[in-house]
Amino acid sequence: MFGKKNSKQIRHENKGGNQLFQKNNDLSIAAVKDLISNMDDGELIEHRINKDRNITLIFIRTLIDVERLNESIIQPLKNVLKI
Amino acid sequence: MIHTCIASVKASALTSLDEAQQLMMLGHVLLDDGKGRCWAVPFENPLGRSIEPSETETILYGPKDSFTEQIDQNITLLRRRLPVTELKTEKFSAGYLTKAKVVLLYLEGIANPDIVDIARKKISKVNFDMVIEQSNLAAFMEDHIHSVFPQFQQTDRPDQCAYSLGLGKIVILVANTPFALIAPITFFHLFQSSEDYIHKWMVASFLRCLRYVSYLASITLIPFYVALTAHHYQVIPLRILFVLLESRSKLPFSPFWEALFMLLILEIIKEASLRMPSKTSTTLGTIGGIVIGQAAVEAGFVSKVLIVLVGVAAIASFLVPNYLLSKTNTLIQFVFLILASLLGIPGIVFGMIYMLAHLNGLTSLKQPYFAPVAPFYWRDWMDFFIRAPIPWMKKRPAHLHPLFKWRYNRGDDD
Repeated sequence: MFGKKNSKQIRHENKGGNQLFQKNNDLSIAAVKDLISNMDDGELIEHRINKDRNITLIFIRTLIDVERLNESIIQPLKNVLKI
Repeated sequence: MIHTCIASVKASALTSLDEAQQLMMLGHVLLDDGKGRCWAVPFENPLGRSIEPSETETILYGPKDSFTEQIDQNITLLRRRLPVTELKTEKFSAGYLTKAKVVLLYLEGIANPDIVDIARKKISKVNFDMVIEQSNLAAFMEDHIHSVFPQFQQTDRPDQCAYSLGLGKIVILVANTPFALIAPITFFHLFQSSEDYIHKWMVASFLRCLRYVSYLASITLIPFYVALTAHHYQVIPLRILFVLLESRSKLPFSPFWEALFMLLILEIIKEASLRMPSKTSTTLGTIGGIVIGQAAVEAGFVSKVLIVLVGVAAIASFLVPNYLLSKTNTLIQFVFLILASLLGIPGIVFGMIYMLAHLNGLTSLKQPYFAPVAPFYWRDWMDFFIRAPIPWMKKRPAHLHPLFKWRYNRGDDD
């Protein structure tokens, strides 16, 4: 009965440390990609311009207006590719 | 390069991962331009319901619109009512998980800067995980957490907020909730309704006095009945005593238990009617009204006089415009009931003295809660028991210490 309180079936709460989010603060595309790991609605779109230039878009699909994004970023980017 | 092909959007350069993460979760698109620079472009999804009439504070003749969950829309509603550049909006974020946007609004040059400063400090001190709604924020901003009385007015009416801002109060809007917090308030503000300013002044004054009386009745009527029947039956006039005697002679319970049962049952019905889906309300009405009321009397569990008094007290408690205050009176009523059953009328008097002392000690944003009675501000009695004609209210309330007191623009007395 009381033994269940300290059973080993799940991990116990962290005793030390009062900070929830500890991350290093260097901005890089790999770090941002890491943020949307395990997110079903986190999306990543890559566009290659010329040969060496990659344009990456990272966003949360459920939080943004996808139509407006298409109109004002994705379509213009595609037009750039055609030129 | 980016700016040339995407001319119509506003992009801001990012410097840290923290910033990137925050903006992404607020509905921005992060864009890496392939040259080692990152940008954030806002594409928030404008999801939310439309403006609907207020359901919590309905008035007959007056503006019908109410706040919604989108905070920007709420600020628009307020800015349309007060189209002056003095209306300042300061943005905060509360709750490290919810990151709720909190906006503090005040009229610069009218609201007292010290009061604004107290509010600003209190909001920025909130370091909790969840601020889901305005009450969470109010709980952290209240001066006295061990008091049943609300120290913030909560309303979803933009007209009420605009009026309060114009008097020199501050308004706090919280994202994702249609309710705003208004402070500093006094106890007597909780009895004011926006309808008071729509009626003629005599009608409004009458209605306002009726609210004070009915609040007092809702907390003391049943305790008085218990005190009179249990301790002071000598003071009841003879004719009324006959009626009481007839209805109480065969009852198995003492007045205290009788009243306690009835009040508890009433509270259960009230609470059930709030929580139950509306389709079951007819069943609740039938059971509550007929079975519990009529059948309890016929079975001889409670007296008819008490049923009448419980009904009057319950209806009287609904006259208070502020829902949070009308919810407190049940609790106060129980305390008074116990005092009355133990000590009779002196118990009610002791309870009253304690309640007044407690109210007098309360503050709202460090401002006295029992103004304009204590401290005494003669000027504010214009809008107190009596709602004076609006042209007579030449100055803003004194207990708010506004920087600019004249409500007429010319500043002279004619």
